[in-house]
Amino acid sequence: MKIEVSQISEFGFLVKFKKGVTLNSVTSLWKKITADPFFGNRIIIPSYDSILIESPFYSDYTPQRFESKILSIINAFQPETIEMSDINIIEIPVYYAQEVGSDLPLIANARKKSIEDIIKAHSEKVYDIYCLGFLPGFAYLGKTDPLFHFPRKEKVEKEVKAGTLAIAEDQTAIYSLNSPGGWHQIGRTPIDLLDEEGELTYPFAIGSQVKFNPISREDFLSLGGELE
Amino acid sequence: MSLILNTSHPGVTLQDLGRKKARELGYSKGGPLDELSYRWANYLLGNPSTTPVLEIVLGGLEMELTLDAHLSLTGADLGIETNLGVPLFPGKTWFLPRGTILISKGPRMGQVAYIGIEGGFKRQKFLESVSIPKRERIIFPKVNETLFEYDECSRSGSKMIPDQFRIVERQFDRVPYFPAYQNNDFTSERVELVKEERFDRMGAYLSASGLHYKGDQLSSEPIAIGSLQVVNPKKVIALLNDCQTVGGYPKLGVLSALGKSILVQMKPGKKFRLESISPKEAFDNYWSSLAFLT
Repeated sequence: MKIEVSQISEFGFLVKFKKGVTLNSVTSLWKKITADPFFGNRIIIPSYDSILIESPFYSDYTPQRFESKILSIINAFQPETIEMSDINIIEIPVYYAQEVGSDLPLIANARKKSIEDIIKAHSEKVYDIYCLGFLPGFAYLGKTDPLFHFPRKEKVEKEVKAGTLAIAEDQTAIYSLNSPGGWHQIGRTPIDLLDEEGELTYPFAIGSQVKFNPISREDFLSLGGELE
Repeated sequence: MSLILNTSHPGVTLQDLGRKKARELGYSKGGPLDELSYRWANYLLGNPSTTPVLEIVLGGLEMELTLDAHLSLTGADLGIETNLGVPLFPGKTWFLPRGTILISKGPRMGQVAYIGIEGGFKRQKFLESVSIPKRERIIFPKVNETLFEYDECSRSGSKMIPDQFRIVERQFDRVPYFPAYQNNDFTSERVELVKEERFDRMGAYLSASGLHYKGDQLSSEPIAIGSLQVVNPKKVIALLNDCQTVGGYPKLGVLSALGKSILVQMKPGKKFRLESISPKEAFDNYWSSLAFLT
């Protein structure tokens, strides 16, 4: 495994896996870095094959010291196999239906499956969290069954409703806010992903997993879901 | 008592140095687009450097002081006028009596202005900051975007920014940046860029004459603020403080803090080239440009 470290701004370093990257290796390096007290108050953003580490504090920061701390962790780094029992599985209720997931019929028709089969295929899988971004609390989940491998829409929709479950390429995600979006929509959760303090209501983090539990229209509405 | 904004224009926001820990959750950092001018706004008034100030991008300011105030105005000259018949020029402090109404008429020089107030504007913080990007306002519905508290100020002496630190008034043909990310995968980085009209707190759009990416398709990767994202061979977006946290477009590199201040203050149509600098130079430049303030 080859890992490259480069300073990309006055206060930021990019750690890039050049070869042999796996979700397990990114997750275990991210855990090593976040567990080190030196990086306790730093911004650490993991993604598919890289980790950005930034210092928001100016007074106690020098690039040399920062880099040497990162290198000392990487030089001693051996990816650890994460035990299944240590993985947090987050379960999220979803109402899969055309009235909140307008692209369900398109997907079913394209794959020559029933809508029920499509719902079953999407909801029986447990997805890994690869990274957060795009919107607050927007978790990129993968990898989906090939049934769901559709490119992003050519025309981005002006507003996808918060809570919408969608798919694109080999990923799936929930829109945490009303937002423009180009993914295909298949359902909606009644749960707000962010509270009024801006905290995530589910503990999304790289290395955790997500499972979607289908719920009825009645349950969706009784849990506070909105159809429009 | 308070300062009342009579409009909730998206270009007028309250900013401190931004959020520290929220980017890993997908939140934008927030904070001033032109950090140097922001810091001067506080320094001139003797405020701590993290004190909230009003940021005005391009214009849209219409506000009323309900208490006597000692203000600083830094960054762009957005043609701010008052009902007292006194135009407010940037780069200095002003004592203004209660009842004063300030209106911006439009950019004369530069694009982003800061109004500081002695003692600072006061507002509830979320995620350790008063900065709330426009797209996130729905999360914090209780925040009032048109009324900010401050303490009454007594008249005190006027201060000015020394000439050598007035970057808005200087013409830059070079913008410093770090070659980073996929920089080596572009056929040419010495291309001339032109700042376009489209510019907000998420990004500044730039035209390029031809930037060809010859690298592989990318996975989404974390974005540093100031990243120069190449959307197609003729379009670059300089990602600013309210930008997304991850993205999969190739990037030429990252503007230095000084480079970001220079770029955001440029008028549309301005041509420039990127100037590669080392991390050490940029870090030294950062501190030397702030040395006067610390």
